[in-house]
Parts: sequence; C-alpha cells; structure tokens
Amino acid sequence: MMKQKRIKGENTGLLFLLPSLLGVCGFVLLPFLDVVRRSFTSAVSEEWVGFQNYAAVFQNHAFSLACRNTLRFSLICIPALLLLSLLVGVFLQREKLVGGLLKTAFLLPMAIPVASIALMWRVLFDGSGILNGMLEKLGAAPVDWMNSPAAFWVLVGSYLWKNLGYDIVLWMAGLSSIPDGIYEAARIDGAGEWTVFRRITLPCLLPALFTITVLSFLNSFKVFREAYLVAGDYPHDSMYLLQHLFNNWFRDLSFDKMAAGAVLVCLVILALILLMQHGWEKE
Amino acid sequence: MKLLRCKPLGRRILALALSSAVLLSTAACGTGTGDGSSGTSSGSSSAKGRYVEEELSMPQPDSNPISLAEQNGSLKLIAHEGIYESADGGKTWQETNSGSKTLDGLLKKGQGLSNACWGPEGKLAFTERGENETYRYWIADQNGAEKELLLDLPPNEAFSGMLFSGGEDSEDEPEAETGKSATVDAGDEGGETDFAPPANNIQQFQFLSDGTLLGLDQNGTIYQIDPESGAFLQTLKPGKNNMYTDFAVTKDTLVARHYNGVDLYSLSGWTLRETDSVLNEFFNGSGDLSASADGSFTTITRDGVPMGLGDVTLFSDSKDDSVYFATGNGIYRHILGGSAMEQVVNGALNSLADPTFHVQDMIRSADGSFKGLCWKESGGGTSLFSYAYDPDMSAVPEKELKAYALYDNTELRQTIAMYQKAHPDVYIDLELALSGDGAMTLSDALRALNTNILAGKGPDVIFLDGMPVENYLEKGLLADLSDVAAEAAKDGGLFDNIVGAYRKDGKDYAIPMRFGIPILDAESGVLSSVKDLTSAADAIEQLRKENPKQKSITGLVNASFLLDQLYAPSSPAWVKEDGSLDREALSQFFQQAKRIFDTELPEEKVSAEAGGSVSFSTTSSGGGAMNTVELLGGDRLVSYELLASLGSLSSLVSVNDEMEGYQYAPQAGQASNVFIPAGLVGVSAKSAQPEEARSFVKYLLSKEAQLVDQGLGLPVNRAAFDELAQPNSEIGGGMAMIGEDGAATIQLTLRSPTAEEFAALKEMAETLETPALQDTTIRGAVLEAGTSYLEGGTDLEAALDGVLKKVNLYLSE
Repeated sequence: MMKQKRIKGENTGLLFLLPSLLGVCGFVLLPFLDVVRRSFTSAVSEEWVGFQNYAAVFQNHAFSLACRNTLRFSLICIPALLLLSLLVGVFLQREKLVGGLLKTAFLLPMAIPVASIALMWRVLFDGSGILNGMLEKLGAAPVDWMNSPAAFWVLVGSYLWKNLGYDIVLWMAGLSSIPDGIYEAARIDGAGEWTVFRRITLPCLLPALFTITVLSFLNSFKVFREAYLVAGDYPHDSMYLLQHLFNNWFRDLSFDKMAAGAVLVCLVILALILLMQHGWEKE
Repeated sequence: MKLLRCKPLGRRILALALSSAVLLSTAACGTGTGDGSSGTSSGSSSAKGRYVEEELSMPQPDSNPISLAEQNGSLKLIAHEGIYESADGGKTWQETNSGSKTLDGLLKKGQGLSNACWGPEGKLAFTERGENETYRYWIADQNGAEKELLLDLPPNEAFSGMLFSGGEDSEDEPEAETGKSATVDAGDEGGETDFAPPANNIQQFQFLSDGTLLGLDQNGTIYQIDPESGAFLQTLKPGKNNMYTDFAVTKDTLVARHYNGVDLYSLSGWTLRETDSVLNEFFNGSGDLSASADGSFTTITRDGVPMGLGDVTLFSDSKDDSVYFATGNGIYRHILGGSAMEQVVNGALNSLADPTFHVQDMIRSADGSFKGLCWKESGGGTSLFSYAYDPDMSAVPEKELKAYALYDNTELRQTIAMYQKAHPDVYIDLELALSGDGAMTLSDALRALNTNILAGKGPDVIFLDGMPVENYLEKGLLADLSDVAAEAAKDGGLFDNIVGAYRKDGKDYAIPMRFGIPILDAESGVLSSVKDLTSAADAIEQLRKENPKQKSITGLVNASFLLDQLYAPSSPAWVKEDGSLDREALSQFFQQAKRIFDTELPEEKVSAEAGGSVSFSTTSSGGGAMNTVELLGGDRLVSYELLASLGSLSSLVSVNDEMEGYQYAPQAGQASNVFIPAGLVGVSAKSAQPEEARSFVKYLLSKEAQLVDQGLGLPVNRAAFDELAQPNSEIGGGMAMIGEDGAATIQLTLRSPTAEEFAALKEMAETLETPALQDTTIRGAVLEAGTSYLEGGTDLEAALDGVLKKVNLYLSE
C-alpha cells in the first residue's frame, strides 16, 4: 500500500517534469545528439569520417590557444569574482543601512546594454582614448590596450565589473539564511570577527558556493559579446577565446571541427560540474 | 474534509492546463509551412495568370519616339521622324499625317521636335526647339489648323551653370562650397563642353478633359494654360527649394511629383488635397529618389532635364482615381486615398528589373495591358514593350533558383533579367546580403548564409566575390563546373587563363565571369623603368626629386587608398606553399608602399581616419578610368588604375593622347601577370536544382550575357571581348570635371581606341595568370596594419606582427 502510494507520487512528479523535460529534449538534447553525429561526418557532404574531426581539432593551433585562454580566463576570473563578491556581500550584509543602496549600485552594470559597454570600451581603451589620455597627463607612455597582452586584463576587468553585483546578491541570499542566533552565541563564547567568518559564515555558505560557481562559470562565456563587439573576429591573441573560434568556424563553414570541438568542450564542462557536485555532496 | 479533497484536484487541473499550454506552445515552435516556400525546391504553383512582357515592333528600326498615346482603340506614336498609328495594339504601324505644316516640317527634318502630346478630338500640342535653344509652342487640330501658343515663361532658374543638387539645401549650399566635383558628358557635340544654361521651356504637356493644357517647365512649375490665349490660368509650385519633376492626371486630380513626395490638386477648384501618405512613403522609400531627395545625390541638368532622379515613371489613364508607377521592381497601382500600393506587374519576372532598362513613357491601354517606350543603356534604340495579362501563364514561374551575392552589381541584375526573359519558366530569387543600409557585417552575412546551407535552404548559385572561396572549395560546398565552362567555351571561346583561376585537380569549382587588370599610366620613360614594386618606388621617388613642388605624384594622398591600389599586384607573392604569409615579402610591400607614400607632401596627406578609408572587408572593385582622367588636371604625375571595362579604355587612350608620351601597362608589383577576378560564380553542391543552376552559369559565360559592360570587369568570353573591342566611330563627345570654383578644370575629348589598342589589351589579357589574393580577412589585416605603418602610427615590426598574428591565427583555424 505504501509502495503504491510512493509510486503514484513519483508519477505525479514526472508529470510536472514532463513539459520542461520535453523542452530540454527538443531544444537541447536532440540538437546536441545531432552535433555529436556531425562530429563524425564531413562539413558539407556529411560523409562518415570517424575520429578525423577530433584529430583535426586536437592538432589545431587556434583550438589549443583558445582553450588555454579560456582556461586561464576562468581560473583567474572565477576565484577572483567569488572572493571579491563574498567580501563585498559580507560588508553589505553588515552595513544594513547603506547595504541596500550599494547593492543596487553594484547591480547597475547588469542593466547596461552590451552595445553601450562595447562603446564604453572603445572610449576608454582606444589608442587615443580616455585611459591613455590620463596616462599621458601623468607622464606615462600610452598603452595599446586592445592590441597587447593588456587586452586580457581588460577582459578580466570587464567580467568582474559586470558580474560582481549578481554574485553579491547570490552571496547575500546565502548570508541571510544563516540564523543570527549562531553569531550571537559565538560572540558570547568570545569568538572574534575573523573566527566568526571562518567558523560560521564560510561553512554555512558552502551550499551556495556550488550554485554561485556554476552560474559564474556560465556567465564567463557571456564576456565574449563585449570582446567580439570591440575587437571583432580576431582580437589580440591573449583574449582569443573558444567562442571566437566557434564563431569563426561557423563563418567558415567548418561545421565538422565545430561539432567535434563542441563535444569536447561539453565533456569538459560536464566533468567539471560533476566534480564540483561530487565535492559538494561529500561536504 | 471535502475541502481538503477538492484542493489537490484544483491544483491538478491547473497543472494539467499549464502543462498543456507549454506543450502546445512547444508544438507551435515547430517548422511552419509559411508561404509554402521550401528552400531550394521548385516554386511550382497551380495559381494561374500574370502579366507577361512582349517586345512589339516599332514603326522603323531606328525610331526615335517622343510620346505614346491610345485613342479610340488605336495606339498613336509621335517620333522625331513621323507620326504613326497602330490599330492592332502595336503589331503593325501606319504613318499618318498631322496636317500641321510646322509639325510636318519638323518631322521632315527629323529634329527640332521637343515634346508632344495628344488631346481630345485629335488635337496635338507640341514644342518646337529652334536654333540657339529657342522654343515655340503649337497646338494643331485634326484638320491641320495650327496656332502658336505664346507662353510668358520666367527665366530658367534651375540651371545656374553650377552643379544642381536635388536636396532642400541646394540653393543655400552650392556645390562649389561643398568642394564636390562632377563630370558632365558632353554627348555628341564633338567634345565641346557647353555649360550655358538652356532657356526655360515646357518639358511636358498634357491636355485636360476641359480642353485646357497642363505644362511643366524647367523650373519645376506646373501651369494650367489656356489653349486660346496662352495665358496661365493656374501656376503651381511645390514650395521653396523644391520643384515638380513630373505629373499625371487622374479623373479629377492632378498628381504632381516633387523631390519630397507627391502633391495632389483637385482639378475642379485647384486646391491642394490632403497628403496621400502611401504615395509619399512609396517615393521616399524608393532608393534612387531618396538619394536625390536628401541632397546627397549630386547631379547636373543636361538639356534641361535633371539627371539621376530615379527610374520611376508616373502615369495614369485619367479614367478613375488610379495612378500607376513603373519602376525597376515592377508596375504599381495606387488608388488615391487608398491604403495600398498594389504591385500589378512583378519587375523581377521581366526586363523592368534590369538596371540598364529604362521606361521613357508608359500608358495603360483600354484592354488593361500596359504599353511602354523603353530603352537600354547598351544601345539599340527605344523599343515598345507590352505587359499584358495572360490568364494561362502560371502566376509564378514553375522553377525557382536561389542566387546569393554579398554585393549588388549591374551586370548581375542585368544578366538575371536577360536570363529570365529567355527562360520565362525560371525565376531567379537574388539575395543581396550587404546591399542594404550597412547594418550587417560580412561575418554576419556569411554566418546567416551558412545557417541556411546547414538547414538545407542554401542558395543554388553563389556569387563568391568577398567570400572565403578557398574555404568553400576545401569544404566541398561547390560543384564541379568544368563541363559548364567547356560548354560555354563553344560560344565564342573563353579566356582559359582567367576561367581556370581556381582550378583544382583539373576541376573548376568557382569561375570568374569577369576580370580587372591593375594598370599604371605614366610617362613612357618612367613606365619602362618600372619592373616591380621596388622599381616603382624608385621611379616615384625620382619623380618627386625632379618635381619638388608637384602637388602629388600618385594622387593617392590617403595611405588606405594607396595600399588598396598596390595590394592586388603584390598580394599573390606573400602566400607561401603552406598557405601562411611570407613575413619578408610582406615587409617589402610595406616598406615600398611607405616609400611611395612618403613622396607625398606632408601638407597634402590625408589620414585614413579623417579622409575615410577603403572598406577593409570587401574586395577591390573597378572604377572606370577616373584616376587617369585626373592626370589632365596636373595634380598627379602617374596614375594607378583598375581597368574593369572595355568602355573605360576610351578614356585611358584619350588621356594618353593629351598627355605627351604617356602610356599604360599592367601594374608591376611583387607578383607578375596579376588580375583581379570579379563576378566569381559557383554552384552549390547541395543545390536541389543543379541542372537549372548550371544552365544559368552557362548563360552567364555566354557571349550574350558577357556583352554587358558596366564596370564589374572585362568579359571572359572571347567573342564578347572581341565584339566590345571594336573601334567605334560613334564614340566621341567629351568629359569635363568641374573644380571647386565651378570652372571646368579638366576637359577631355574622347575617342574610340583603335584596333591596335584593343589588340594590345587583348594580348595583355592573354598573359594574365595569377589571381590577386581575394581573402577579405587577409586583405583587411594587411590594409589596417599597413595604413597605421604608413601614417607613422606603428613601426614596421609591430605592423608585421599585427598582420601575421591575426592571419596565422585565421589560417590555423
């Protein structure tokens, strides 16, 4: 009797899941299966070529450069963003009066259209832009921001600036779920601010860390829009990301390499997410 | 308890409803059938009936018609050499007699009749143009009685001896102040360029049903004229800085077109009627017209006719409130006050879409068909065309070919129109990706094209100018056209050295329809010393030493434009066997280009940022021989030119006649025997209609299609080349350029090239063997970095690094 009820409950849950599951199947999984199929065929004639496309991708200099840059970008940006947003989030949580106002201010970059950000980039980082104008006034040599390794750090800065507010909000949601009583008890026991942060705040925020990390990682792909609008198909080597490569492959009709590359990237991302999930569940 | 049982049920119902909604909305996202278009599939339709074009006979093969009308079921045609009538809709013609001594005298002379129109009861109004630009106006009745109309017209204000601009600010901002210059073709006058303003005169007459006349003068004013006294009963002007360009009369409304739209006057009270927003939108949305209306289109009056007003012919049959427009897109009908502009005849299915095809006059016959006097720029005189409704013809051609090109060009449109005319069952749907307002980038366009190809909706025929041809060849997108080229070669032969430019393993996947030759025009001693880019730089530096005060040596004071001219003959030398760029060769190119650029005086140089730059994302295009013509102005000593039309050879040899000791030769660069492929065409390997597509490509290579010579390039068909390369005694007249002060600074008498000069060009064409590098990514990288280097914005190594990093990354993808 109990088993029957449980099965009935599961079926009801499935019914609720079905519409979105169908949507995901129709718009994500099935197309992705087609991508997997295409990764084993030639670009136009769709003849079976085995692992030839994968071999081509692994030997492709542009692919390795894009992977390196994307990895470097993720490894620098995501920890920096998580840390920075956490610190600001904790600060805003403590300063309740000004916190609300500042929180809105940090969210503003998300409301600015990409085209405006691209324009801002140009004004700031052009050879004769505002930044170089300031450098010249200070007696320093101008920097070719977009055509030198500095381009990578411009990209990093843009990503942090744009996503900081979003992550702050996520952290603050996590912070607000920690009962004040725990803090009060710790302080009565003589714990200092750093101990409270280390022993209470951080452990209680771990469940949120997984979600925020995944979201930050996914948001890191969006930085391509600004990079593309400012520097086009071929930016400086240091900011040539996987999205540039996929974009150019699509333009050049290289569906074969694009499909193989997409499958590889998907596998890596899936592995990363599973790894994080495993670590989180273990915790 | 009851309540508790009901609550989950309600939730379930709500959940079910929401789920259904999501499912339904998902289903709605599926591929709809739309208008039934199915990509490359044949556009067959069971719907019947459409207007079909037919070329009718003219009274004489070389008729020079002025006006066409239909009265009492007969077509009436007034030409310079006679008056003709046809009772069978234009199939046969009989010459008739007007009875008017003046008119008969003018017809006998074959000249002097300026315009004419038929009126009620056989009346005829016409203008006699006398010597010294004097005009007399006459009305004759059917019995031959004639009466001169004495019209008191104001002086010609539209022509001031300066350039005429159609924009609102034309009077406030004369062209002399804007620094523009323009050319005027002096026509048949033996090269004497006459800038004297013609006298004001009536350029269009029309009788109204009450017997009065409407006339439009050079100033763009419309008059209602009393045919007895010549008095002006009404004078209609469109407002300050504007003029009427033509008019038509419906049952009770005068429709007068001006630069900003259309004015409607009631014929009963001559009051201005409410604006017809549909009409105004139609005219303002018309590309040619808006170009002149916003003042950016600069033109000049010739024989009193403002040139370049756009090919829109306005007409009506005066029977109802309908007004008609013949345009390149077709014939449109609009009922005044209505909300629609109905396309009656689709121009894409006949000659109307041909950009060199122009409607001089058009009428609507009583049987509902349209008759038009039309002419083509390629010559052959004016012809009479009929557009009659055929109920048995399928509404749309049974076969539809999809053609795709990035850029518009006259040759393409004209040959498509010619092919469709020869194959009424085929409709070619031409998609031009980058011909619009410039919002789309080249990369965007290519991605959109690839999306369609991926979805199986790609084009059948692809014009590959500006596209990554090598990439498409490598991917197997293009079908082998070797047999098509071989077939086409039977029609007069092809320049195999050009046609085989992209041959791989004996197969032609992409065939250039045209080609351009980069040339250098200079004094023969200088020319003979130029063997390559380095010696060219030496020669130009030497010229600067010998002429320290010369304003410019090459006339290319903008680094971007200079690099553009030097790019083609050198680019093939940069590519190594593995496809990557040769740093040393590119370094040489930059250094020699800088030497040439540095011969320009610093004060004459124009930065690419301030003076504009060539488009880095497009391939080179031909531009006649205007650079060479500017040699006559003395502002330059040598001229870099792209020879892309046999017609422009006339300018070239004429300039060399004037410039003592000047000659032209293929431009020497780092590579030799280089040509610029143009109109590169391929057929998609995934085309659903490969045979039709191949048939179209074969036609593009045929002599008939290759005779079109509008500046895209020289023909690859030998027979067409030979026919166009015939000395033509009719080529004459002249060309003038007006300087900033309004005076003619350059005057050139044109002559036809001789048989020897044509033969020399053909010999030059035979030796061409290397296509210029057409890859837009490489070209863009080279021009961008090169411009910065030439202008001193970056050093040589940094410029080379910039190009090579970008290009090597591109090539490694």
